[in-house]
Amino acid sequence: MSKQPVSRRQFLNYTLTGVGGFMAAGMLMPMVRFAVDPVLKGEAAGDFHPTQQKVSELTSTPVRVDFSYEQKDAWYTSEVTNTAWVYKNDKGEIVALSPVCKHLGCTVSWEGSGHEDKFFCPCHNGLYEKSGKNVPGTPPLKPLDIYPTAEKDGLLQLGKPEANNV
Amino acid sequence: MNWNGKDAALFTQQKEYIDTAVVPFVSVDFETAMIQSAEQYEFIQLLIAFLEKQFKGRMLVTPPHSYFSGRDSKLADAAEWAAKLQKAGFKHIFFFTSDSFWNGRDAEIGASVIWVPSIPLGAMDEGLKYSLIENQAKQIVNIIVQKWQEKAL
Ligand code: FES
Repeated sequence: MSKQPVSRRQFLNYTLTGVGGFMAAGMLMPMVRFAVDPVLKGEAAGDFHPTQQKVSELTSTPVRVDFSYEQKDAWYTSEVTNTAWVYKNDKGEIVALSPVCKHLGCTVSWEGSGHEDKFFCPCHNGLYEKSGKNVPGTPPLKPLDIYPTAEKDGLLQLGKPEANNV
Repeated sequence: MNWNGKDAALFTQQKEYIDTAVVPFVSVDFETAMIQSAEQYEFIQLLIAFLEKQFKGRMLVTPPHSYFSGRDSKLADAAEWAAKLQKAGFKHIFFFTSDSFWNGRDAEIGASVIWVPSIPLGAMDEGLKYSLIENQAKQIVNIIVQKWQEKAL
C-alpha cells in the first residue's frame, strides 16, 4: 500500500489529463498522417534506386550494374545488393534485365561458360536470348524480368523488376 | 535455397534440381578465442550469402553446425552430417569453414571441405567488406562449378 493515498483532486487531475491527452492524440494523428502521407506515397511510387552507371557509357554489350539500398521490413532493416545486366538495344533504348533465373533463381551471366550472345545459368544450363527471352528446351519457362529505368544527372536509376513480354 | 519455410517447401517439390548442400562449420569459444570465433562466423555467413545468391536454384544452405573446439566427437559429428545429407539425396556436400582443423579431412568425413581463412572484418566499411567477400567468393564459385562438372547432373 502506498503511504500517500491519492486525493480525489489529484485523481481527477491525472485521469482528465490522461483522457485529454488521448483525445488530442486522436485528433492530431490523422492530421499528421495527411501531412506526411504524400511524402510516403511519393517514395513508394518513385521507388527508383540510384546506380553508379553513366548512361552515356552504355553500349550494345550488356554490362553488370550493381546497386544497393536499404530495405526496411517492420523492425528488420537490411542492406540489399542487386544486380542488373544493362545495354542499349538496336533502337538505342536502355534495357536492364534482372539476373535472376526464372527456373529456380540462380544468377545468370552474359556469355557465361562461352555461350555466345546469350545469358547463361550455370545451375541447370538455362539459356536466354539477349532480349531476355528464354531459349526453349532449357529449364527456364519465362523470360528474365526487366527493370524500369530512369536517368538522373547522367546516372542510371533502376526500379522494381517486372515481367518481361518479349 | 535458404533454411526457411518457403525455400524448404520449394526444395521438396524441386528436389531433382537441388543436388548441392552447404553447411557452415563454425567453432564457438567464450574465452580467449571468442573474437576470432565470432569473426570467422561473420565471415563465413557473408561468404555463403553471396554464394547462395549465385546458386540459389541448385544449393541448399543449412543452419550452421557449431561446436566447441575441444570436443572429442568432432569428426564423428561431421561424418554424421555428411551421411545424413547423402541419405537425403545430395550429390555434392560442402562444409564451409575458417577453422583449420578441417583442412584436408575431406575423405575422413565424406564431404568436400572448403577452408577459407577469414579476413577480420571488424569495423570495416560496408562497401569494402562486400567487395572483399565478393573476391573470395568468386574463386569459390569456380571450385563449385568445377565439382559440378566432374560429377555431371
Ligand atoms: S536455376 Fe537457372 S536453369 Fe535452373
